[in-house]
Order: sequence, then structure tokens, then C-alpha cells
Amino acid sequence: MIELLRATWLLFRMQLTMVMRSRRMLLAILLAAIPPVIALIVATFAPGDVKPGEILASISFWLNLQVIVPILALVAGSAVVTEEIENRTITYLFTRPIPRPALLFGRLLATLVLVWLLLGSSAIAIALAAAQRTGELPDGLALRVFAANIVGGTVYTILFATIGVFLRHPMIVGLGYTFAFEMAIANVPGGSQSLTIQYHLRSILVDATETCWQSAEILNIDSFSSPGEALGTLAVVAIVTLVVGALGIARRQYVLTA
Amino acid sequence: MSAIIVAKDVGRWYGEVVGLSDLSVSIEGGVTGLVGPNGAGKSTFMKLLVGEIRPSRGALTVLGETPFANLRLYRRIGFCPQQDALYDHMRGREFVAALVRLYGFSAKESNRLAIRALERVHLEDAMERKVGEYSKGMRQRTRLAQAIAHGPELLVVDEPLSGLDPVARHETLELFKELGEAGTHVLLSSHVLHEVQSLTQEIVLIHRGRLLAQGSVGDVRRLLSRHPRRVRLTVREPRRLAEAFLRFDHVGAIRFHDDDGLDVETRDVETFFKDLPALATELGVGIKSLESPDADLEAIFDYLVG
Repeated sequence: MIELLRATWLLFRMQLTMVMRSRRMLLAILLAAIPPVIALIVATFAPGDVKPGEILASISFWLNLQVIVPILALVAGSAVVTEEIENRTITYLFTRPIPRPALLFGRLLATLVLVWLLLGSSAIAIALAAAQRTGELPDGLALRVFAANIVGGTVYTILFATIGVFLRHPMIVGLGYTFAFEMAIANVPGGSQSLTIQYHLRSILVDATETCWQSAEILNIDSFSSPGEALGTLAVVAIVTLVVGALGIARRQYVLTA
Repeated sequence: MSAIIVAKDVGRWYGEVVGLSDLSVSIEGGVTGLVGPNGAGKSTFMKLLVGEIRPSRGALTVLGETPFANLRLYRRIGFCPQQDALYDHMRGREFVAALVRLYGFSAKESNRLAIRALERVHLEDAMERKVGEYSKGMRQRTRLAQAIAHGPELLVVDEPLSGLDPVARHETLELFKELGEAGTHVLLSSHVLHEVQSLTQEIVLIHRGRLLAQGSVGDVRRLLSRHPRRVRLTVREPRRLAEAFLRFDHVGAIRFHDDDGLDVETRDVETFFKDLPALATELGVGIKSLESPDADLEAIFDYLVG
């Protein structure tokens, strides 16, 4: 266990710069910048009766959590293992006396740090942009947006990194999962919503008692679980996915193309 | 000396493609050359040896251990892969030191070992430059440095001389000699027989995933010398020279091409080349050019496989 932690830490340090400098991260930065820009435009040009809380709630719910968070996590997470395979540098790490899951954990941690940084900044920037409007933001709303972004970024990144352990092209599968499953099921009324990560993230974000949510035209607003329950479910999903990824990478053989 | 590598009926497939097919070989310590034409299965064999992949069938041991994901074995081996892949954003010293740290050395010790390894491959002047700025030869030497830095018992090197200029090639061969003399077992692959020959007498020949021959270079050379070889000459008077060739027992077939071309098939190429200058001088036929188009390893291997 100590060996695994040490190797994870070493690989995290070794890979942080590499992850930061990758082209995928440029795309991730652009994605993270979209919601604050839109929030600023809406805050500037929306009719006078639109409150800042409504802008923050709508953009966080419909755009940020549903599109930006999973796509950004997909861009970053799918590269965790595949980038080493595509660059053919995985050989150096797999022929060192380190537990193989350390590669997944070390690179995942480096990726997560950047995902947290981007999505955290994005959440703060959306709140600041919405706050340009006259009126106050509801108590705790900005914090819930921030938390949903960070938790969502974490769970989706782990999920897509694990898909990358098993599949050569995780991006395609990830896009299919995001659009065909998450987006579709999470917006269909009924119990099936709880099968999606999106549903639990919305449970963290939405407080049905606040007026800003009532005007956001959200279906089944009262069906969300409590934030604590949602966090617990997502923690289980993240841990199970991580264990599956670790077991996978310990056994997988990667054939590098010339 | 006991065997450091033992493969028994080892097969490895990539889907429908056969990488290795029932390879059984036992390799003693010291410096050994793994020779075969491109696509023979050398890299597959090396990847199996260092545990990057698992055999589809058969059994393989390296230094008495099963290689795949064997951390104990990884401490004892060094691997220099063929692919030109490095972390380009890192400096040469950083790259080697970061990989050495994964053996459990402290940061200070890793740095010291990295510098020493880079000095051994003559990269001391470039080690503070970004690896992405290195030439192909420098990148090759960096890959070698990361493989030797921790002082492995067995060094597995895949095509280490490709991309090197003659000076670097000589220095690299000298390094392997030094390592061998210091007691490191070295297994290096090449598709060029004479490169390996200048380094070691022990070679393993593989072709199409199978063991073709194993032993000293002398044994293999004797085997190869019986390979009928085609020699293409351009001469002023091809018909006179062809007539003279017919006196030789080892000459099998002669074909004319163009006005001054002659293709001669010989079963004893060494004797042929020994006798040719005297014959040409005696007849005064004026040889303009001489080449042996099927002298490459691929042709020889095809012959040996039958």
C-alpha cells in the first residue's frame, strides 16, 4: 500500500506538467470559459425583472452541469491512460517496479487537480457574472454550484479515465454515454433519472424551496434526493469505478502501434 | 553458466497476427544478439521478456521469474524500447532521474544516477536541454540511459543502433562491451547481423516468430555461407566472364541482362569473391559494378526457412 501511494505521488508530480501542457487541456480551458461568458452576456442583456439567482440557477443547471462538466471531464479523463498509450511512453512506467494502478491514480490525480481548478474557477466566474445584476444571490447558491461542479468533474473524470483503461477510443464511448444516456435519461420524468450521475449532481445543486429554481422550468423539481444522499451515492460510484479501473489496468496488456 | 532466459513453446498473437510462434529458446548470460529481419518477432519477444505483455501460450522465465507485472524482476532489469517516445517537455536529466526514482531511490540519488548514466551515453553536455529538442540519435541514447541508470543485472535493448551516426554507434557498442565485461547480461536485437557480430559471438536468429538458429556467430555464418547467393555484375565483356564462371563447381546459374549485365548464382559466395579479382584481371573483362541483391538478412532467412 505504501509502495502504491509513493508511486502514485511520484507519478502525479511527474505527470502534472505533461497533463497541463497537453492539447486536450487547451480545449478544457475553452470549455470552462463558455458558461461564465454566457452568464455575463445574459446578465448584461436580460430584461430588468430577471434576478441574478435565476441566471446562476439556469446556466448552472441547463448548460454547466448538463453539458460543460461531463464534456470537460470527458476531454480530460479519457486522456488519463490513453495519452500514455498514444505517446507510447507507457512502456517506461510498466517496466518499473511500481504497482500498475499507480499509473492510473497518479495521472488521474494530476488530471483531477486541473479539472477542479477549471470547473471551480468556472463556477466562481458564473456567480460573479450573474452578480452583476441588481439584487442578491440566494444564500448558499454559489456554494452549491461550486460543489456540484467539483463533485461532477470528479465523478465523470474517474468514469471516463476508467473507460480509457479498457477501450482504445474512450472519447467516442464517452460522448455516446454523455449524450445518449446521461442527457436523455436525466430529462425523462420518472425513477430512471436516479440511474444517472446527472440526477445526483442536480440533487446537490437544486434547493426546491428557492424561488430561482421554481422559475427555471425544471421538471420534477421535488423528486431530487437530499444533497447528503446524492454525495453518498456519487462517492460509491466513484470508488467502485476507481477499483474497477485499478483492477483493469493491473491486468490489461497494451499493444503499442508503431 | 546457467540460462537467464528460458522460453518454452512461447506463442504470442495479436488477434489474427502471429507475433511469436512456439518459440523455445534458452539464453545464457553475457552479451547475446537477437537477430532477425524486420517483423521477425524480436520486439514481441523483448516485450514478453520485460513483462509488457503476456504470452498467449507457453512458459517464459527471465532470471528465474515470470515477467508480467513482476515488480521483483523489474528491479533487476533495464529495458530500452525501440519506439522513439520520450516525455518531450522534460530535460534529459529530469527524464532519466524521474524514471530512476520509480525504483525507490531518493531524489538526490536518482539525480546522481541519472547524471552518471547520461555521461556514459555521452549526453552530459545536453542533459539540461529539453528532450523534445534532441536529435534522433540523442533520443536513442536517452532511452538507453534510462535503461542502465539503476544498474540492472539484465539489459534488454531493442534495436539500439538504429538512428545512430557511426561515432555514436561505435560508442554505444563500446558501452555494451563495458557492461558485459562488468557482469551485466545484455540482450540486444538487431536486423543487421554484422552489427551484432562486432559485439558478441552469441546470437539467436529468429524469423517469422520462430527460432531459426542459435549459437556462435561462426556456426551461423557457416550455415549462411551455404545459402545460394545471386551476384549482379556489370562488365565490359559479360560473355567471356560467364564462360569462365562455368568452370566453377559452385556456380549454379548465369543470366544475362541488358548489354553488359550478368547475374551469377553461387553456392559458395566466399570462394566466389576470393577468386573473382584474379579471374577478372586474367581475362581483362573490366568489371564496372558488383552487387549482391539478395545478401540481406531477409533473403538469407527465407533461404534458411526453406
